[in-house]
Amino acid sequence: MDGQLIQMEFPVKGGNFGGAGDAASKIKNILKQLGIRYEIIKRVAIASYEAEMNIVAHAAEGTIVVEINPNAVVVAAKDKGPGIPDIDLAMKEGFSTASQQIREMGFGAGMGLPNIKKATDDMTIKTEVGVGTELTFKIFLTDNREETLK
Amino acid sequence: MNRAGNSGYYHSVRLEEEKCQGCTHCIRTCPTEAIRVRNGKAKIIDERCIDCGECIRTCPNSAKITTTDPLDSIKTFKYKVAIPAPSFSGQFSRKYMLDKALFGFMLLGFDEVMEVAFGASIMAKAITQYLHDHGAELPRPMISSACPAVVRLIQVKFPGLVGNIIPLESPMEITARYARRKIAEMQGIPDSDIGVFFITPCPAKVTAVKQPVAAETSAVNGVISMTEMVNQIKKHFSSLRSLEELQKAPGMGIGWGRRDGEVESVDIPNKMAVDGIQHVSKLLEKIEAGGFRNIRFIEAQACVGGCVGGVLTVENPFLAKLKVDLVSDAVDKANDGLAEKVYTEFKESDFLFSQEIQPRPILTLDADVGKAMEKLKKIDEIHAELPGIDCGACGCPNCRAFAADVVNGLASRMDCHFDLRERVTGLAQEIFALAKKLPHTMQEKGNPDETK
Ligand SMILES: Nc1ncnc2c1ncn2[C@@H]1O[C@H](COP(=O)(O)OP(=O)(O)O)[C@@H](O)[C@H]1O
Ligand code: SF4
Ligand code: SF4
Ligand SMILES: [Mg+2]
Repeated sequence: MDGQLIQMEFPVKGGNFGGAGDAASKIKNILKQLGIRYEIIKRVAIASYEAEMNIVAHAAEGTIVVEINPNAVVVAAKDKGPGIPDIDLAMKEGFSTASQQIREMGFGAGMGLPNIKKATDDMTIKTEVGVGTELTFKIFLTDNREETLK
Repeated sequence: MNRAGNSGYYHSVRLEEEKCQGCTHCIRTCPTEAIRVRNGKAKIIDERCIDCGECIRTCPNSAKITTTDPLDSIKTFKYKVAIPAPSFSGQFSRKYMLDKALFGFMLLGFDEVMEVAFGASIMAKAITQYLHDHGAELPRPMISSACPAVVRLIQVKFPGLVGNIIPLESPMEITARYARRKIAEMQGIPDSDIGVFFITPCPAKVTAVKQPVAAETSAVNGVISMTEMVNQIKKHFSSLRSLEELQKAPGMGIGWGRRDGEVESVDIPNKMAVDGIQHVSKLLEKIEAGGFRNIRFIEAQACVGGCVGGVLTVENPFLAKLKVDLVSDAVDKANDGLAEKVYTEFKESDFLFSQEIQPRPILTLDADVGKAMEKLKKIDEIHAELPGIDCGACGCPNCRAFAADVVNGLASRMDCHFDLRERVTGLAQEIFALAKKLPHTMQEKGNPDETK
């Protein structure tokens, strides 16, 4: 059974926009090798990318921890950073505290968290101001989601 | 003859076994890791090869070749039409030389010549219109379908992006269809008597004709190497006339022969061009990860510099780009109007693919997710034990591909020379230890001091 669980960890550095998306890309490539449906891979890629970007754009440093089993992929993005004072506000489409400089690089549209929510089957945020944030999401790999939605 | 064998895939890129030295140069540059060296010879894996021609470029022994149709094959048709690729213009320095070259086709036995650059101008309008009309419901970015190597790269390595390929036919296909229709209408020649021959800059286009991805069959009957045609034409160059009326393509279509031609002629905001199969691969990787969503149109070409960089062209690609520019600037502006008029004779459905492009994933390890996971873990385990220097001596492009081959039963651990060496060392030590063991009946004849 152990053979059917894949765990990985990727360090992410705050402010490193050059390497941004590397972890998301690696997760995506593993799912391709596992033969997961493209629509699902797309959702995992979008959510992981945004979670990774939030560490890069808003925190000092962090890690992305991934767990894949035949039914689901669970991603936890943990960081040491400023934390989120008001989660409801942060979840609003278009809300962003990103600096002008970050916006000029094409990030900080305030769509990251709402898009993660949309792309995933489950999402939770634990955060403490001045300490850090842990965002976890889950995406089912099987067709279950489509069926349960009916 | 057909290399495709059991896989069912046609391939124009093939190996001349006698010439192959098993040197492993080609296995590293292949963008789909399609080559292995086995028993001292390169083997191309049919399911993986996209006929990009990269291995033809790298092979120091010219053992990789493109299979094209011989010029003689035009004789099987009563009415013979040559349709040279836009990059053909880059093989000649001046507009009058292109005119002469086009006349050269007549001298070599063709009844008519029609530039694919003409079809390219039509397709530029068709793509513009398509992106305009369907923009809202299309994924972003949309990727040009003009380069067959890129289309196949997407099918095998980025199957999730097949929906991003613009579902419109290539300039070659549209030129061939237009030529057939016009000749049948104007001259009353039955379709079966018309032979349309594409003059190709690359192996990918040969494959696109012999086994199209989005149609049952191609409107092109045969494909002749551009190198062969240019050489033949240049041989007769002094005796050729400069017949201006043969040159009908607008400058905009001629531009498709090199990088940026599509981007310059497709009238849509936020577009970009990428060339070189490795760059294209990297970009597709980013797109697959969700990037470039504010870009609407991507011109992607397997060859550096675009089609002038194809392996069957003659001129240096960078000089050919200059020549394309010189020729396209000198072309009669009136040609634009003709292309415009012909464009209106088509409906959108004439341009659309008649079949959907199917994904052909090569990266999936097993149809069962659980089994694929187990395989992936085994690959990681083996990979971690390998030296990781990607030496290629095992015949695989890199250590990771070797580990995958071992797990899939296509290679043996012993094929790794470093592994083998370690095992031989271990074995030697064992033999040495064994050799020192004496039967009890024998006395050790060592140093006399020791016997004391
Ligand atoms: N890991 C994090 N640490 C601190 N603040 C965060 C983090 N992730 C999100 N936020 C806050 O939530 C806001 C909204 O996030 P998001 O929707 O991803 O938009 P954006 O990143 O474009 O600003 C951010 O501007 C930021 O204030
Ligand atoms: S033609 Fe391209 S894909 Fe095919 S084996 Fe050669 S390098 Fe690889
Ligand atoms: S870029 Fe042009 S010449 Fe090169 S493979 Fe693609 S279609 Fe052929
Ligand atoms: Mg964000």
